[in-house]
Amino acid sequence: MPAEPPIAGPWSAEPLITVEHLDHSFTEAGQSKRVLSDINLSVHPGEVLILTGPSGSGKTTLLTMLGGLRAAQCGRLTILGEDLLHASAATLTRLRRQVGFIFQAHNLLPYLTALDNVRVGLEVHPAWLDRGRAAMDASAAAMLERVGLADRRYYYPEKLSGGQKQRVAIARALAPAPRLLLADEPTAALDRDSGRAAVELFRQLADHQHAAIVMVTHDNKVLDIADRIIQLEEGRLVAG
Amino acid sequence: MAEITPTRRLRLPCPSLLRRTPLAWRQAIHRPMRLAAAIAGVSFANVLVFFQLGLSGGLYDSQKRPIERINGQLVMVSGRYLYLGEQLNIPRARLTQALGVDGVRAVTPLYIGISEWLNRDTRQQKQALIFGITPENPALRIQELATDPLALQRSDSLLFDTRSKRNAGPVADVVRRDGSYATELRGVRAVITGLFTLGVTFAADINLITSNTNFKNYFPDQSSDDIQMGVIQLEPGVDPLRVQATLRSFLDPSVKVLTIGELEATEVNYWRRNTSFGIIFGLGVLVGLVVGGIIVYQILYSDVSDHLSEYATLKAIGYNDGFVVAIILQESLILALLAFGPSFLLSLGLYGFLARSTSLMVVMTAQRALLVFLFTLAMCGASGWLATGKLRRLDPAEIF
Repeated sequence: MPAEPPIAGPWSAEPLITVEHLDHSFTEAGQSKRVLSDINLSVHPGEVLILTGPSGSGKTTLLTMLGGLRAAQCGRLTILGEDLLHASAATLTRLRRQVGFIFQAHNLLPYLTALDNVRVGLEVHPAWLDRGRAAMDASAAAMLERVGLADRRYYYPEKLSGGQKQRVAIARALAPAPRLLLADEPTAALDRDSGRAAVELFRQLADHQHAAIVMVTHDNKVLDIADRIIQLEEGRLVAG
Repeated sequence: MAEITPTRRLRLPCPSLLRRTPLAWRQAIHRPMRLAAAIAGVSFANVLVFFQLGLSGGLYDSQKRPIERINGQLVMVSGRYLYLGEQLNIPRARLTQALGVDGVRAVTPLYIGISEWLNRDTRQQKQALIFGITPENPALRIQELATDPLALQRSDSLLFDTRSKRNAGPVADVVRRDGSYATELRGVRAVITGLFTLGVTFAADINLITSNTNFKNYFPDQSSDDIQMGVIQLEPGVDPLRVQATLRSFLDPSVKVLTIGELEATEVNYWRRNTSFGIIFGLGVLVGLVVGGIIVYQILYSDVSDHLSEYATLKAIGYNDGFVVAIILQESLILALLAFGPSFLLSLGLYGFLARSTSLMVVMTAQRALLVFLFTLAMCGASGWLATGKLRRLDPAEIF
């Protein structure tokens, strides 16, 4: 596990995310289409950021770039100290291990139990593999307990409800204690109480582990959890 | 759930592959019925390959059976000799010449001819391969002649191979009961007076052995100066290759001298190259491999397509391309390993059946089992690799 950076206070440390003059375009049928224009953004350890905006405004593209799923084409994009401008596939893969992802679709492996699914999220880290299976199982079980699924840990995804599956996916993302958590509509499949519990977990990750959280959501009930809310419109940041 | 019980074993240092959740295995066994169908499919392909190899191997090995019985170290045959059963003559005088070479102890002729055997019951004619040997120095080592040297002494003695095809008629049973069995060879009366055991070749359905004198009764057109094969017997310790070289130095090219090994190789090559058996069986093997490959590809491809977003998720959380591709390749190897056992056992049974019903030497060899195992590994591996095409092109950003 990477060593925790020494942090005096939430805002004093180096930002985990630094975005400067970031543009991004997709090429579709030979035509270049601009999706992000001149994005400037920094997110610090311990900060919870909510990203909103109409659909097609570039939220998801920005989120994928923050998570190392796409390399930057121009401008500056530095995540957890890695420069992602024209980054190689190997660099992106290495970065992704330090980022927790929660997707709109839970994407659990159907042939693994809830506990196994969470453990697969740990096994990608060599340090966790070295600690052995018992330690990984204990950690995975503890995280499932925190999302309220202690009694469902040996269930296969097909036996879980949509909300339960999403909570397993949340546990998978949180179990390795990532320094950066990226979530795309994480509460969409959850009822009011579960959604609240999930974002409380994000808040705790930020407060106790000094992780940075970037969450795309339209769920007004959870907006209060954020330190900052920024809005994207037609690829530009308009508030925040 | 036994697998989550913490044990000391798991704390031992071991390759990271073993410390990880065995995703390929878990995926393979998740749906047992689908796994069973996959194993059945791959097993079927393997059995098909075993069947083709067994039959072709049996065909080739069985052709060598009379040659393995030749009572000598060198043979003299016509320069145009291709396989045992073709009636190509050489002058007997050529064989006598070999007696003059240093190291040659004796020579003895082997008469070979094909005639039409009449099945008394069905009135159908079947091909019979007839060997004519001199009783004093038989050109073939036959167990029954060794125990009963007088079996060929009578001028009309004719021995019948108990491993001849059943379409010859109930010859062996009748001989055991009555002592003889009378029928016709190309219209000439022939009486079976005894039995021996050799095994048929593809040249004929029936094997017969008779004396050199009686042989001429069934082939009246043949000159008494002609033989079909000369068997050369050497003094103990003499190098056959040296004698072969000496003989070649003075014999004209209308005859050639071969070692027993060369004669066997000639026989196998004949059936392999100058008949379509090789192509037929080779295509059979190919069909088996393609069928198996398609089955494995179908299963793995649908695994990939059905779970594309899960694989993308694995990539998104930091697993690299190699890891994701390896899951499918491991699954293909799991199928290969699980299917081999059942197909091997099925093929053993099939070989027993083939050996009984065709009288061919269809036997399982370690070499063949290994070959089929490598085939199935290659087949499953190749199909697995093809099935991962989508995975290798998969962009993890697409799952958002």
